[in-house]
Amino acid sequence: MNLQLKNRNCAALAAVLLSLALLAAGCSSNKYVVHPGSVSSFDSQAYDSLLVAEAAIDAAKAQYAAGQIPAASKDLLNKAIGIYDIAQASWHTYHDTAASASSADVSKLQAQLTDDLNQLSQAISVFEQSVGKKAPAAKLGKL
Amino acid sequence: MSTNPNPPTPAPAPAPAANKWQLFIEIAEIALGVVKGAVPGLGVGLGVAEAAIQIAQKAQAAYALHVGQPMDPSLIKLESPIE
Repeated sequence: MNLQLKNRNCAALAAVLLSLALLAAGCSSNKYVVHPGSVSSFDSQAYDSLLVAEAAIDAAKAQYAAGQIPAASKDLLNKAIGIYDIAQASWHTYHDTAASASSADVSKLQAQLTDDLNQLSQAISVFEQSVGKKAPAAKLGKL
Repeated sequence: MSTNPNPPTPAPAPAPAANKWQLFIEIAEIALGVVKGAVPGLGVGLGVAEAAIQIAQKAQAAYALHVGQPMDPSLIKLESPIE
């Protein structure tokens, strides 16, 4: 086996191990620890999702600047960033007002934030397609 | 016919749709999807695979750093697009 192929296998193994570690972490946490200062468990989990998304975006930006991901991914990354910005604004609104708002308003804010986070997750998935494959245009229409 | 004195309790309400693990899974899939594309002949290099793995690692580290910590809303900032 030549060195290049060996390196590819190591990268594949690392990715598989990383994925399993992330999934195992999710499955093994029977009791979710709510962040002190959150207005609800939903508020806390949305905060976690945005922290993770923001870190991923920052890392992707750095990789793009270093030329380590395809130039064709730029538009999809910017799309994900735009959706992240919408979701973070929704979360700030929810977090700042949920404690004093009526239950109807809280439900409305929660539904909006849920929708925004789902769209963010989808945008990240589309970005993944653009990085890992060569046909990002076909996926753009789904956003 | 007698009635059951201990009727089954209703199932708990489902967790909020904003599942904190959903993004983890998506991000892990970035690494897997890219590495699948890194095999010879598919045109995606090892450098791209490593870049995707680093993205996933940064995201996982961000979560791990804040588990159980007091919420800091100032951390959830606007992101500017790439020029």
